[in-house]
Amino acid sequence: MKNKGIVIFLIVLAVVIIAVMVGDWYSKRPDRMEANKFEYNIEEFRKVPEELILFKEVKNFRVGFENPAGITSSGDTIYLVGDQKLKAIDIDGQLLLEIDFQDKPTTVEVEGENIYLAFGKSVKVLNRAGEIQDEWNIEGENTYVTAISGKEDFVFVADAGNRKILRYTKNGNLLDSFEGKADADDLHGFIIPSPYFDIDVNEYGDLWAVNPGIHSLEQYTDNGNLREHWQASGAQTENFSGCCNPAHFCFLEDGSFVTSEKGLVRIKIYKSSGEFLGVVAPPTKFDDKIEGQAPDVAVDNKGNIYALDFDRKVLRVFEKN
Amino acid sequence: MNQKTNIESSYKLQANSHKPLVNSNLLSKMNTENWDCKLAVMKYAKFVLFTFAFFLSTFALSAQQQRFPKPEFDSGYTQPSPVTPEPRALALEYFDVLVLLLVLSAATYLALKSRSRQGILWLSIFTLAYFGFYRNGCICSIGSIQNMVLSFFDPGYSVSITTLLFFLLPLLFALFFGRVFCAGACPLGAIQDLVIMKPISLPKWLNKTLGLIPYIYLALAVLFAATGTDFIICRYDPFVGIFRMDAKFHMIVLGVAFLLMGMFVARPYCRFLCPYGVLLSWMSRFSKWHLAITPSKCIQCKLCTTSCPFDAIDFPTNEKEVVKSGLGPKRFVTYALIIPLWVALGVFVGNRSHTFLSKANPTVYLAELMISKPEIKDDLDNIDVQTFRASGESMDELVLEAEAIRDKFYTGSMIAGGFLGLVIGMTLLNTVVFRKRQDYEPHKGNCLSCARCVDYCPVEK
Amino acid sequence: MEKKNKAQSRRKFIRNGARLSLLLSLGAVSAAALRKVTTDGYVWQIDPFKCTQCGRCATECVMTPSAVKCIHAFDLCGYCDLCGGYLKPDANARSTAAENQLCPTAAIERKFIEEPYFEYHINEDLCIGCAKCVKGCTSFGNGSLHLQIMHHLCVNCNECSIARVCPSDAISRVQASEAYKVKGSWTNPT
Repeated sequence: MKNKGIVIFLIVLAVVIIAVMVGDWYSKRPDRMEANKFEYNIEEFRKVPEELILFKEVKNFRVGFENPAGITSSGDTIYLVGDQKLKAIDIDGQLLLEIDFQDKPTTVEVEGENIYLAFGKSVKVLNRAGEIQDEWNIEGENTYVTAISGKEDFVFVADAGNRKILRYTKNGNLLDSFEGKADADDLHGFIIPSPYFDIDVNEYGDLWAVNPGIHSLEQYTDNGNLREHWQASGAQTENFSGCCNPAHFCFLEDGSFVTSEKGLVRIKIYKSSGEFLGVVAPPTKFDDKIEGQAPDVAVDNKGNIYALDFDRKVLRVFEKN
Repeated sequence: MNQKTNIESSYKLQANSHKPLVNSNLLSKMNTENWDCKLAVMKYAKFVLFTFAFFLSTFALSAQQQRFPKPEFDSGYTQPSPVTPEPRALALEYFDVLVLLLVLSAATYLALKSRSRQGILWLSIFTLAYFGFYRNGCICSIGSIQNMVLSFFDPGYSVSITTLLFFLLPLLFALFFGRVFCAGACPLGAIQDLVIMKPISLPKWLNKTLGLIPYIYLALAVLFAATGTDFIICRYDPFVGIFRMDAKFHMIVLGVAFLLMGMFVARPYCRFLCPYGVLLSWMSRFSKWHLAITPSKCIQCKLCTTSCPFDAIDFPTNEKEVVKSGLGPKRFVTYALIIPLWVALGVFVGNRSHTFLSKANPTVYLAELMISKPEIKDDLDNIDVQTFRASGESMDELVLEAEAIRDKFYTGSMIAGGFLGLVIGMTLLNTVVFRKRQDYEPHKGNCLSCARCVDYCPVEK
Repeated sequence: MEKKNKAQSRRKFIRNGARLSLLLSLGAVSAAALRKVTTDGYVWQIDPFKCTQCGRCATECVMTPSAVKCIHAFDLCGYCDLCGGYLKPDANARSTAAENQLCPTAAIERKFIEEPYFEYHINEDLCIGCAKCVKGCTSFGNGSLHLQIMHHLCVNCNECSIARVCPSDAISRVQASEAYKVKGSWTNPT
């Protein structure tokens, strides 16, 4: 044969061409592609040692909201808001009260004889039977109410949009407001990068607020002077991770904090001094979503913790081990 | 495929919970007598409500995030906005069409009128520079087949006017002037044309057999484009990596292999792979005008046959040999009669292979994978499986989707098989068709109008 | 001679007929395509709401580095000190030290504006489109960092090689006149 060398060369090339095509065809299949080299890995923080988990999930209720928004408790009654409704249930899930609204409530608080509901730029005051008593409109273009908390004489309203806490009298007179600015070097007032700004009043009547931008919990006097604070920053179990955490919190009877985080979703307990105590629900208890939402939390008079899971749209009940 | 595995994670606690749910409480408050008939309505209403609320919720979430006010800056900081450079201007796309039209006209003029090989050579160098290295080999007429097909089968996709013209213009020119597109307007052809060193002539049987590959490639390309699976012509375009001067390793290997091959087998991609060449060849066979080797009467010097690197010149027929070989009406009739058999065989093969072919579709492949290997759902490194699981789509939905695609493949691959059967039958029939030829003539289907033979022809006008 | 002429004219007639029918079929194909033809071009773009940050944009693009870049929707940014997209989840300090930075190529630049706010800026030349910061920002922050195909870098392949393997089908053809889906200014239509 005349061009033996060339023919062999051509055959080799043909084999190479076919091999490349077939190889590429089969390499881009789901079971043959490589893992994400750039994985943003928080797996190690999702794992929580068993001995740190102090609570167990005992039951859960489907709350019947497409978009749950908030929860609070009063004695053995749980108040839930979501969609355009307020619902009250007892601890067995029996529906006690259901009220429809024109707008979507964003949060709920029960104090004394009144139920307070926030609707972005306004607060509606209801009596325990669900009849509207009063409505407070809050001025301001950016106003966005994320939390309400009351004590005997005053009602505090957390306005995340304006980064302020407003103080009202029970009958709706705005007394003053404060931005949490303090002399202390490590505090800069409230830093609220996203609509998560929770406040609560504990059993002793102390007003606590989250400063989500610096992972701290701060206690203020009624007129807005910083009294004390504690901080826990980091992705580790004993700290608050990411940005705007804890997104929600409430108090146990002894003044311990029950905190709830977004992103790396978890519910934890801290002593009233800020010392880490343990975990109520580790991240593995929640859906592994990119934008994991922080469940809103409440505590009943038996010390059970109620978590309103926004991703699963379920109310989950945790009991002490 | 029919087997359905339950892969979604279930909330165990929720399933085991014996406590009454708020929802059921609501239900029990209703009149229990017409509970049954209400159930169906409720179910449907719930579904509608859910989908509505789902859309609403995603919107509300993003809207809320956007509405949340930014920090107020005291230091006079002005917020920058993200930089989003505009894509290539539309006017430039139209300019490409104009360039294509000019190049095609120039190639026609150079091949048919001025009969200048040198002119064609310079034109292909321009094409290589413009459509190849400047336009990075994209947009290209070869790939536009798939855009056309996709626009017919995907209601959500409509072809752009530029793509349509890129598809249409070369075919129109081929219908009137032969494959002048291949001669001077195709960057893939141009780059191969420049590397031809020592072309060897392939045996006729090999030429014919390899000549079937473009039909297979075309059939697969159309099938995959119609089912929305893949654009294989673009995926295996061997030279686009070279034009771009940046590609994955295997693309470079492919391009270099084709170029090395092209040193000895002239234009291997054009002759034995290019699916657009199939369409051009159909048009060119019936072209009104075509490049002629001699400007006047052929003197049978055979010089042109050695000049053609593509084996595209037909020899004069020797009637005596034809009679001796027994080619004739009898064999013609036999070959014509077995064409339906070829078609039937093609349909059968298409039917048999549709399952295999459908695995090219990512959805079908994923469904198959998750059914055949249920344990893969625990493989956290498998991005596709984990993404599917996180998407909230159920296994049943995925299987349904995959089955719908497989149905398309079922019809599609039978049609493609039938088409290939017809092509094989016709190719065989062609081998026994006797056409009287006295001179050396270019084969109108295979001739790329490169005008090399014109240079060699000693006959003066 | 007459016979030959007849054969020739018959052949010519057949060829003319074939040409005419090919012309008609080309016309039919283009008419069918013209019914819904668009005068606008197509480009590829990522839907940030569908993106799951799988990292394939960095590895599968035909360009090196990828034509997919992280883009910062300043509108949504909280200008935080503790940025989930800038700092590693286990960063031990909120500083610009390299060991605390999440970005594998240090493409995010951090600039102090005023107490307590910081601006984050993507250095496009360094960004490889891996979406690591996007995931950090989406999980822990406001989701202002997200991926987009940058059209001065994208060569607009007829079929995007990333789209082919995108696990969430987030990449699709969009009209060239609306070539970006920037979060904030572009809202998910569904």
